[in-house]
Amino acid sequence: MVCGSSLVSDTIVSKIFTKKRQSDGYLFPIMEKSIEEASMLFLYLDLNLKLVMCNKALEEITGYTRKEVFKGDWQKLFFGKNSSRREMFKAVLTSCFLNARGHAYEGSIIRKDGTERALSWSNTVITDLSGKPQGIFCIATDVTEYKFATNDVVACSERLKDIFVSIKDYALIATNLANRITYYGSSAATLFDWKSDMILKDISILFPADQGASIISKIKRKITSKGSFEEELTLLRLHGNAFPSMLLVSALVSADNKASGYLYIIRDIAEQKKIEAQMIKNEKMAAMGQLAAGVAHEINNPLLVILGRIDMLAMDDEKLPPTVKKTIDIVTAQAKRMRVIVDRLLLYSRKKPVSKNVVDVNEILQTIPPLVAYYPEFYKITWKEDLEKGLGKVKGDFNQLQEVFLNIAINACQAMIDGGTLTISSFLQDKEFVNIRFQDTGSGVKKDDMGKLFLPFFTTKDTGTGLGLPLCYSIVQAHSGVIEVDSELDKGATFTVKLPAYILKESLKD
Amino acid sequence: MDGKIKILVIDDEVDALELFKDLFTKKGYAVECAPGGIEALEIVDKMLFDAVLLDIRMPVMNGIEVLTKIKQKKPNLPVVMLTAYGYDDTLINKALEQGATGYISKNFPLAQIVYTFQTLLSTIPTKREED
Repeated sequence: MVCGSSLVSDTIVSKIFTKKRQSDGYLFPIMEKSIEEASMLFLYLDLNLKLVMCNKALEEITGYTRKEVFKGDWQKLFFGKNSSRREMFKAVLTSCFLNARGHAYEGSIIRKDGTERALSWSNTVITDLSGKPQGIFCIATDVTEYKFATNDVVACSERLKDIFVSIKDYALIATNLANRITYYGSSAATLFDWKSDMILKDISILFPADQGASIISKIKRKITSKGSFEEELTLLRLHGNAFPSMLLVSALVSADNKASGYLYIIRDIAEQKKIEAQMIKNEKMAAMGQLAAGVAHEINNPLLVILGRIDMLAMDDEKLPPTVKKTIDIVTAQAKRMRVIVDRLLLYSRKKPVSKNVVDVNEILQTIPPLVAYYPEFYKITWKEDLEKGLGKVKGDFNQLQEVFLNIAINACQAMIDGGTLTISSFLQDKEFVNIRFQDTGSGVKKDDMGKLFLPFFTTKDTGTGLGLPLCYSIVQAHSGVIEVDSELDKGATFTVKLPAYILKESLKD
Repeated sequence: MDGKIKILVIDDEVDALELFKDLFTKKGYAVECAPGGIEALEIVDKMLFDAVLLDIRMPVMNGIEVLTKIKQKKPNLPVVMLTAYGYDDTLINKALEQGATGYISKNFPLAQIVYTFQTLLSTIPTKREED
């Protein structure tokens, strides 16, 4: 702490804390040090408003050294030529002395570099034991940033309010130059799940914690070099839920062409990403289909000749020695195995148009359990059905959809070979999609395998061809539907086929 | 005329062609072979047949084109299509529209191919096409 007379510690403050010093001998040095190191400005003025003591924060807040302040007229330095500002301050202090009590006050000072700082003052009159004022202790907090931000908020609200409220598909957020939010539209509150006021919160709350600073600095660099920032980024909702977004940031320029902050324009692209992923998957499946058709065609002809020639040999069965017969049997069995694969490939790749019949999904589903019952190995499985009555119908091919449901049901049963429950349910979703759900309690699907389930030849079964689910995918796609899979390892899997509803049940028609 | 049913088999796969030749010969048919559409049309111009077995997918001139041209020359000559694509509906429908008697999948076992062929022929009058 520095005092006017010697620029070293003086006893003046000890007078302020006389009582304390007497009772708590150790407390005084601690308080003195705390005041010296505090970020708030501490001034002690005598009855003539002469500066007696100040702490280190003075240099930070005013830009003057303490030496300069003690040497010159501190009021002139702090308030400049603006006499009304100085008079106001004087009036406040005089009133404090007259009433022998403190007063809170907000006013600005001029720094050495000419810039203005807004300070929030809290003044306490120091009295002697008889209650006679001896001086005044002034504590000031720098509230410039808050004041400017508040001003920004007011300015922004005037200019942007209507725009922000009008735009629904994009979240708009304005910040000041210090990256504090100064305004945002209702769409931003909705998108980010903001329930409370987010004004003056740091914009870095949008970004993953460890990336905020680097993203903001990247945004600023891009704006400086290219005028704006545009990138796909993962952003966070209030409770940390991440979502993909398209983020566009531009500088906010005031009427006098001065940069006053930034405008963040955000679009949630989760749905778009989902559609893109689906399109890529469809293209991949189409390419696989073409490949499968080509492979099937190329293998089919040689296979025809192999099987045909063996068939012809077998026609002369009685003339053949046993060893040749045995070889023929083995070659026939292996070639027939190839034929099964080729048949399934052809089935998967075929471009069979979907017949446009109106079919009842529940009716198809009811044919599935008897068909699966042909497989004796599934005897330990419990079947449950929860089919919504009066479910909407779909436009499609009875046999093809039956094949899809049968395939998924058999897969589910194979995942529960030691027993379990298969629940088949159907329900209408959003009056638009007929959902058919197969939920098993089997081994589930490994996370790594989820993306490969519908790829041809991908199988986790020893004897599988890996063409069942690709075939299902291809058929459902031809019905303008999708198949969704959800699974937890060792807890089971849920396959949901979603088909566009064609005829809604009576109650939904209005 | 030796009393045998005379057929023309058309397939670009020479081994398959040979197989069908041996098979139908063994089953008592008189068999001529053509490895493509152009050769087939030349043979059809020169010889008389009871039926044609025609591969639907061939290079240069595909099965549908060959079928159309044969039907222009011999409208009553039964033509049975052979398809490696068991479910190639579009081509099969086209062939049926162009007057094909029916189709047989090459994926069938030989006995079934012969049986299906015989069944298809039995549904139409067996009269050798005259010029």
